[in-house]
Amino acid sequence: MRGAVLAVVVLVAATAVCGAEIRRIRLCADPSNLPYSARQETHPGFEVEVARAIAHTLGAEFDVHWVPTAREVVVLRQLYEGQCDLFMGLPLTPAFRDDKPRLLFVGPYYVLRQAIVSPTVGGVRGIDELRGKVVGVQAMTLGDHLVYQRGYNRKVYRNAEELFTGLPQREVDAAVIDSPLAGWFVMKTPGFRAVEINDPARDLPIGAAVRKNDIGLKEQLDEAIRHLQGNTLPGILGRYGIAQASTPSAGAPLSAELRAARSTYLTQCSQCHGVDAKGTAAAANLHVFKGSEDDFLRVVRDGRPGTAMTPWKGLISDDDIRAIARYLKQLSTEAAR
Amino acid sequence: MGMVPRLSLVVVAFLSIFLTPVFVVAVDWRPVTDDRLLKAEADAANWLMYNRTYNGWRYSPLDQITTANIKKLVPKWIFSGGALGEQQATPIVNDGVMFMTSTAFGFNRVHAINAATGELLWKHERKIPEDVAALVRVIPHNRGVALHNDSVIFGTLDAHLVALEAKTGKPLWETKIEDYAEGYFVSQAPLVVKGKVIVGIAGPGEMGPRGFVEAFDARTGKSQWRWYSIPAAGEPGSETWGADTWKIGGGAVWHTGTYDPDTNLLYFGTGNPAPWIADMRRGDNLYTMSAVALDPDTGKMKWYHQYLANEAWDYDTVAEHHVIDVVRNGQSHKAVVQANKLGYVYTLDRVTGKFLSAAPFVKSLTWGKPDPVTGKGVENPGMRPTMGGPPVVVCPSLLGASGWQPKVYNPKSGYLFIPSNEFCMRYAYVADLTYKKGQLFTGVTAEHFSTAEQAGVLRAFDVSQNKVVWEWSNRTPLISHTLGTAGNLVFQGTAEGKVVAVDARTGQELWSFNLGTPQSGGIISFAVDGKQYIAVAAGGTLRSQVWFGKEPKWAHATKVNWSDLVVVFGLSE
Repeated sequence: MRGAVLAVVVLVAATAVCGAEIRRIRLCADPSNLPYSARQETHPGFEVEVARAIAHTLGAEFDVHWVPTAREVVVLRQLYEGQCDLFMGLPLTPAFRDDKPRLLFVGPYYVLRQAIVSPTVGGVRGIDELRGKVVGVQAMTLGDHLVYQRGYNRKVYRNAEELFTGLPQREVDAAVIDSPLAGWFVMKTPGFRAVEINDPARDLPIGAAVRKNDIGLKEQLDEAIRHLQGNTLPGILGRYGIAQASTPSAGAPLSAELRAARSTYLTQCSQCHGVDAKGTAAAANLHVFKGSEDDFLRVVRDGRPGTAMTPWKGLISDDDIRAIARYLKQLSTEAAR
Repeated sequence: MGMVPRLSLVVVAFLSIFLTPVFVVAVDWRPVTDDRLLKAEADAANWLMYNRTYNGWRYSPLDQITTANIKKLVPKWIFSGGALGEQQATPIVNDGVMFMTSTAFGFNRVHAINAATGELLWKHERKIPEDVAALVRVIPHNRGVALHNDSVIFGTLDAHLVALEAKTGKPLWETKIEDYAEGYFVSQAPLVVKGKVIVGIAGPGEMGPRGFVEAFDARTGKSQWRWYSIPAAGEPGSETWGADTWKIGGGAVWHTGTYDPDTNLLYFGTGNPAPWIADMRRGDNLYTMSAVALDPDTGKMKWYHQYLANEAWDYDTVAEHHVIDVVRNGQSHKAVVQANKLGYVYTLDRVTGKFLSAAPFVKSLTWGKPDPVTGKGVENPGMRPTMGGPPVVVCPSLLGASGWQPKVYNPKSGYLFIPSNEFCMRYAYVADLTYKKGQLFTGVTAEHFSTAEQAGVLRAFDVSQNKVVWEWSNRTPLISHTLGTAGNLVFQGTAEGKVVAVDARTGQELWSFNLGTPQSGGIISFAVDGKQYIAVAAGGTLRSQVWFGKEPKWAHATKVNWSDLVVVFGLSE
């Protein structure tokens, strides 16, 4: 039984940690979902390895409760019911958090991006080079949407396996897919390379979750992740071909409120004003907005008559508009630095 | 009727899962043969299939209850199915036994009930795994059973087809249709034609990859043929899907079809294409949003007519196609008539699929209109949402001018009774950046509202004149059922919890009864021992409550509690 194999790595080191001692951490993970997790020794998946490293840091025993994760409801129920204490690989977006009131979130421990996979020879170095090429995507994913929005030539696949079968057979010139899947494919498949796409709107900070009442565990897990940031975490991710291991924004970290505001901005405003808010042919550069927060609220709420800026009253609440104003202010300050 | 052996049976309660008290009821039960299904129209006492007859009319020839004595209509018995809302089933009656389904997140139930007294004869409960797909969890529903010989056949939330022994509820066979993990499920009542159980699949359009209709041997459950509503690569029509999106093209076939023995064709309406963002699947997206005629023996498509290409608003055209002979431009046609979400009554030649006419039946119509010659939808500019852009206002709402709620045809007056809606929606594509391990990332937002004081309008549509002849109005939209009877009556349910009877000739309200819970399932008529009854399935649906959402005019209806009932009415003695 492979679960026992993992238990062998259990670390009983008596490292004292502050607060209540965590004696054992049991992870819910999928037995067959590489590069995320797998019930095997050589490559148990980076989620399993990260969780194991966290347990090691905390001096806790570690084992895995194997459960298929394709149906989110099933695995979360295992967590709620105590079959495991920890579930990795969840997006730390406001929308997702709000949807899961029974969870406490931990991390992030890496950032998931979209990546371009193409042949090493004559391949693609950046997203603009996808123009005129046939780009394989997994249907209805962030990558699919990205290629669609760019107006490039998509070819849709139902799942990553089909896409990674079609790519070496030259059914498509390149693929755009989640960075962990891209990195893992490239590691196993000579002749292909992966390039991450720098698009902050699509960056997803990925963390983990524990039960709502396990506040002590959450704090210690967060502490352990910070402790592992330096070497261990990049090392594990690197073994699975995931280069990007740090959180995206180089500037001051955003508060929860401003992260929510960023999400609202990106979904509601960025199509015209750009993800960097520097404006497009269709709309103004918001970095040069000189008015007060009240002025900003008034313009967004009532629109600018005679322009494409329609009134957003009733669509975005006043509080949310004010939060967007504060988010943009921070964005401009950072850009000016 | 004379050729059918008449067996006197003892129906003994049998429970597949739970032990409960055993009722013993003597009933004259005749097997529901293919011949009886063909002649269902004349079998006045019974309601043998979802739409009562193959032609999809939902018209009862019983005439004991009339406009003259309707005031004497009183409740006779009430049956509780034990679920909470999502009661969308139509009761099926054969020789004094009623079969009714009740559904919730977690189970599919079938009940056999003494149709004269309401006594439970047997109950079958099938547990449904909790990891069914999202839509199934949100709206777990089932629209009823099919009968064939001595078996009761129903589809499940985990995409199986199950047959039970009608007399006892004992399982006879079950067939896995598809993997529910892919998002497939069955909500429609199956249709039995020539010994085959015909089932359309639900799920695609919102979740599953491709819609289909499949036929199974009614005796064994063995698959006979499957017709996909979306052609695969290389098949004709696949070129209408940009970027290979046919693989996930949707086109669910979630409503029971109709059948014409003369043409030997099944008529189905197909659902919306996927993904919902129309521009991500450039092309006409065949055969979504279409009428299709299938050969029941082979599953081959004889013809199709696409109502709307590259559809953008979830206006599924799955409503039943009534088999009616009509006169257009002085010429008689074998036709099918569909009143659908798009707000038009479409008439097609049922032999060839040729478009004959389209006439609007609602006023709240802004998406566009059918071309008068080809019948293909021509959109008004600016009605499509843009990605992340502000909402567009478009009418009708995605619940449709008339959606899944079946329409009724009275062959004597030539009126089609349409439970219709005057409403619109604020509709937007949301670039939702939430990521859930390979699940859907993109949705839409829709807020339903009405500029009309009375959003629900029951309309009598004269099929030969191609126009509305009378209206009966209700405050909330009619996401509820309709029945026509030979007593010159039309029964209509409401989300407020009423069932009303109106004069079929004028629309004048004659009688009403407060069910105490939203009317949402089928309304049928049947007779036992020579007495006519009206059965009303009620309990509410998510559509009638939550989706009424932010429209203040409808707030009163969202407060009515959900339930799961069949209320049976008869004349007071």
